Amino acid sequence: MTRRARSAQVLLAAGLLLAVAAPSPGAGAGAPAPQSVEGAFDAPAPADTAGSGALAGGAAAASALPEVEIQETAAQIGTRLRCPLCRNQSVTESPSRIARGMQAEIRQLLREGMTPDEVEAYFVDAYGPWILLNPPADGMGLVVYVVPPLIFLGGGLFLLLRLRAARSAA
Amino acid sequence: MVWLGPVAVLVSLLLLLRWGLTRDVQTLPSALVGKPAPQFNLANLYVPADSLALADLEGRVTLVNFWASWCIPCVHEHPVLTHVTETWGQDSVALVGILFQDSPENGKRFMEQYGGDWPLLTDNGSTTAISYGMYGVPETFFIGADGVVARRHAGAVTWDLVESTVDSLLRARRDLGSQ
Repeated sequence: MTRRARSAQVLLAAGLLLAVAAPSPGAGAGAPAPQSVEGAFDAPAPADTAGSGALAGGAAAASALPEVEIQETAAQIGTRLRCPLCRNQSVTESPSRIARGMQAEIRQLLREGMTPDEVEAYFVDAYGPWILLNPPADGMGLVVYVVPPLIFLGGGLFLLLRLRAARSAA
Repeated sequence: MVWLGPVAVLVSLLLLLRWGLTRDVQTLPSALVGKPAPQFNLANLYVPADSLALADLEGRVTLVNFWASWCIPCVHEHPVLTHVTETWGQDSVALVGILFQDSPENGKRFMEQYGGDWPLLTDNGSTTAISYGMYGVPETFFIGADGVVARRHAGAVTWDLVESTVDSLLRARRDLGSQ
């Protein structure tokens, strides 16, 4: 095999490894698709005044947070939650009605006194960890964080060995 | 032989992708299965002053069906839901429809067109739908007499699925009652 052919092989392998090793914790390979897209009819817009299902029937502690802070915190939480009807879009980014409803629900939960962590846990309870754009680094979620660096390091080692072999052959 | 490693990695990734493509949304388990069903207290579609709470249906096998007038699979499953009310009495098997992101007027028109007589509720702000971890309509949650979610079905329900699930929940209800 010529030196040029060896170099081409090495470059091809490098490209392949970079392609597969790119970390993408936000990617939703197992994202369930909606059964039916949202209607274009005159559905009522989600109202912030709607009672939350989370604390229904319970004594709701009112939040001491000012409304501006509630809005900002809700938007931040929304960036970490997946819109269930979208493909890899956060609740804050998505213009869909379900995402707007979720955003309204987040604000309502914050007003009722939940902390951001408790709000996230509420959505995880209903949807599972899938609802988090960045899966938790435990259980199966750990694979997303561990495997890409391992592949990258393994690929780098492979390239190093191939380059050394190519040099010594030359 | 030195290519064996990368080829093995590539094949593994392709197999993983292939497995991902074969996964069926309708068989994806809900995070709620095995947990107590989220409580709700929602207004009646026809008489908004009246409301129905899940707690009112305690001790019955309950089917909570999220639907909308703009949803084509909801049209397909409608005869199955109608058959549910014809087969079992509301005192043993309660069917509840929750309108999802639709106007009450459209919901009423849908029911006028396709018929059916079971409690229909509205979900302002989709708060109940969100608490049930809804993705899209139709979705049906089968709740046992013990108040625990036994099954979630995404998409139009079939009679076979409803019959087998309800029968097993009714058996569990009888066992619960005999204890």
